[in-house]
Amino acid sequence: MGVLFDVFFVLGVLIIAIMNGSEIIYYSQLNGYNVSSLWRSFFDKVKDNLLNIFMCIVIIVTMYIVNFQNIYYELIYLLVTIGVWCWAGNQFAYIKKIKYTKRAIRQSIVFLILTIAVAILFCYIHSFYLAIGFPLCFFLNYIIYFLTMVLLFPIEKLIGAIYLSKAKKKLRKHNRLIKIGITGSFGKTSVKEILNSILSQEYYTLATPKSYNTPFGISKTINENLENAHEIFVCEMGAKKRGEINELCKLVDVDLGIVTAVGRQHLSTFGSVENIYKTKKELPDYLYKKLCVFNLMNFYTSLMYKDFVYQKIGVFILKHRAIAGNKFVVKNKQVGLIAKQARRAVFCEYTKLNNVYAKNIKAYGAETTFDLNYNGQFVCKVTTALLGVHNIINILLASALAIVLNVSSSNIARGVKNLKSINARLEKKQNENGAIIINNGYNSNIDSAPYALSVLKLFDVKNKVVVTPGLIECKDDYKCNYEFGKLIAKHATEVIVVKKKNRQAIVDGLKSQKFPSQRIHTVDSFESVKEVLSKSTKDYVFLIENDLPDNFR
Amino acid sequence: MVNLVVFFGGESCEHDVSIITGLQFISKVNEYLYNIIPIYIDKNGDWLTGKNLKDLDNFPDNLGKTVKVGILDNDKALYKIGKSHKAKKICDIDVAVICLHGAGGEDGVISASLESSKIPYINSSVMPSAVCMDKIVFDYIVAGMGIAKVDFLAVTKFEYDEDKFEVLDRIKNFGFPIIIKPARLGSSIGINVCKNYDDLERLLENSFEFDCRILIERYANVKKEVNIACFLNKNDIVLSKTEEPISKHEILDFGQKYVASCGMENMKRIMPANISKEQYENIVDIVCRVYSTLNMFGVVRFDFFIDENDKLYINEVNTIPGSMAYYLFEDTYSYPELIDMWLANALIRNTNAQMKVKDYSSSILKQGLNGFKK
Repeated sequence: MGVLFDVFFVLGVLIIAIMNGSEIIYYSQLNGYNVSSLWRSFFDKVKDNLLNIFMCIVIIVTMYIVNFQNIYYELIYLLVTIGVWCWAGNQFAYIKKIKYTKRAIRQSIVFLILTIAVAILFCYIHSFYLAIGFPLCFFLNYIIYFLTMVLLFPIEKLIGAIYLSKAKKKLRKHNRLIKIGITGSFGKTSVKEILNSILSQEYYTLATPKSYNTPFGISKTINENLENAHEIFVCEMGAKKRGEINELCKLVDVDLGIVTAVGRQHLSTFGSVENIYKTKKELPDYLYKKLCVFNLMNFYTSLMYKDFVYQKIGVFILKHRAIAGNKFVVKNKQVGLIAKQARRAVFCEYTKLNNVYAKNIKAYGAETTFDLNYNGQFVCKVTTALLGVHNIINILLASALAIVLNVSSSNIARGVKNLKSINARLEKKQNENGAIIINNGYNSNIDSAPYALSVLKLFDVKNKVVVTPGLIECKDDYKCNYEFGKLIAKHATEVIVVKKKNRQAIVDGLKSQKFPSQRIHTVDSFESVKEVLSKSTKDYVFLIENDLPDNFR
Repeated sequence: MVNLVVFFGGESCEHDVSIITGLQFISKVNEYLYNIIPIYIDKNGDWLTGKNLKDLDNFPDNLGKTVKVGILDNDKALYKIGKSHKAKKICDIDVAVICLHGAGGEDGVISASLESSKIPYINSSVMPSAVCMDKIVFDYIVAGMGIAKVDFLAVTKFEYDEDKFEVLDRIKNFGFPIIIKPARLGSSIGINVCKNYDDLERLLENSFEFDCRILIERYANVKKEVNIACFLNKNDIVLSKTEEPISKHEILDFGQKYVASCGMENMKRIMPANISKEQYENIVDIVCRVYSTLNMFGVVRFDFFIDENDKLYINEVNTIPGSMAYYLFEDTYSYPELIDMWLANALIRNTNAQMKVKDYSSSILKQGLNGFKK
């Protein structure tokens, strides 16, 4: 047998490792190099490949019984098993799908080295490897990858720490920078984009791009894009666990803050709404003797507003005057949609004093206008192409901070007007025939979904279609999507449910509201929907609610 | 510390004036906020930087140790150009100021270079600079906007060489007296007043020494001249006071403007100018229209004159005025305040430009080269 066979063996193991490993690394990258998600994808893979595993076991048993001596039989054995795995389908595709960041490259290299080492080790366990080696590669790859993560863990930690401290030092060196932090369960990116647009009218501003809201994303922005000439840094802060917002506050050393809302986003990692509230509160807690802006239309953030003892501004929408004097009672129920989400706070007392609010709202599909007021006085008339009443709150939050920073009223109006849309957040587009497609693909959740769905009301169009794969990261996926189904039934005329994950729940929810089943369509991927979107005629409005990345099926 | 680059000098006739404008600017910049890097463009066109360049006494002979520098496309940095043309980065550039006058500096050439490097700067961009430098193009645009301008006629050397007498006749029909101006030279150099046909050929050929394109304007009896400056501050146009420069000659010549009394700022003037309210409103209207139509930026000085019939005419526009026209704002803003405003606006201007949509996806590449292949 000899060396030749050993070489073939190692090569074979390597090929299977590359095929299988690229898939493992790809999903690992999507899940943030997380050990628990590694086990989840392992079990998913076993489920999908039971047939292949069975076939390989059959081959092992046959070969063992036959007990071949000839090298040719062994080569055939090798080729057959590799063939079976290739037949498992398109494995090499994952090699291209991985985004080759430095971290991914480190992982890949260590993984391959470990694989070769283990394969060579197997070459010395003679009678064993023939029987077990190859098919076990499947399981082996997961174990080897786990070892890779363990080995690289201290290195990654060190590299990460150096990168973060580089950003911290660069920020400290900057002596004139005003740092603004924005946090909340939803609305962060929207508020950040609006604030960036307004402040850029008067200050040289840097904002974290796209949805960068983690320590590494923020550090990347600081390391690569922050210049000495910048006057303001607008930083979006996101979190999945307690303590993460505080970490970001310490990294950036914020001077001003905005808390947009507390909702049930990422409930699976936080555990409870209580935890989400405490985490978001870490931002105002950090702002010692500084200013913070709060959304008074959300129950939890209005609690934060009451607790905050330093300079604060609250924003709300004025609908109903009840008591004389400076205090205005906003009957939440009459503000309609927003109130339903703040079920606990039916009556809230808000004062116009030192607060920013909107009056005379006129919301249409083409644009929304309202009067911006501060401290009882008219500031400016705001026109925006952003859809929905909740975007008015986002604009109020951004404007409040702009007022504090002495931006003139005309520049506030101009800044808001210049912002035509925010990427994948109710982003309105039209196809060639005039059908309107609203892309709200970004991270929907049970708290912001109602706002998005109510936007359909603004369009005077016969067919209102909701395209969605359902909601994720809820405490109870079924219950959440059932509620979601019920909501959709109230606003849409047709539904296209994408992917299998939440299909049953949504359909059940729709049916409970007696939604006609011929209007419910199910597809397996977004690709099939794309044609419908591009061919539809003018009397259609599509709302794409949530977009699931590949790590969900 | 913000790195601020200041260009002055230049290959034009106004080299020395530019040095004064530049060094005045440098002396008034806040040293604690900005790290000033002077770039002196010498008479050969080389860009030089060095410690001695911030002091007027060192010009022209005692420049000391200087280093040749340059900038690269799409790179906001200053490079040292060493022997055998090797480029080594000196530092990042955060914002630039052009204090050059005349061709090669005020006509958009340096603006184009800075735009290509994506460096923010406080002056007008390429188009307005080029338009205002070229008297013929400026006259056509202003006439097209319906703004009062003296009658004019454009003549090129090409036409003159082809058929000299056709051109001379055309000018004769235009009528005398006239002013003959080279299209692209500033500060009253090469300008001749022609009162009759006999002098025409001689003076015309004299002007042709300076430029191949000549502007012929009807000579107006100037009762008084009125200047005003303005700049854009966060989407609002800020106007200066009007001034009325006093002169002894028929038209301000170079000697008057610059030699005798050390610069435009020290000339005798009446501030604000002695004009009626209607004339002032007319001036403000013209200034705002031209500033926004030509997409100007930074401080610009507009020169008008009023003839013997009290009619207001626009004369010319300077996109880099002498001494950055700081003296016109003296009552409202100090020079350091002006500088802070100009620099802040320069930085925002870049962000606004970047936010505009520039990329459009198209499938034109898929169509192929239509038969063209190597």
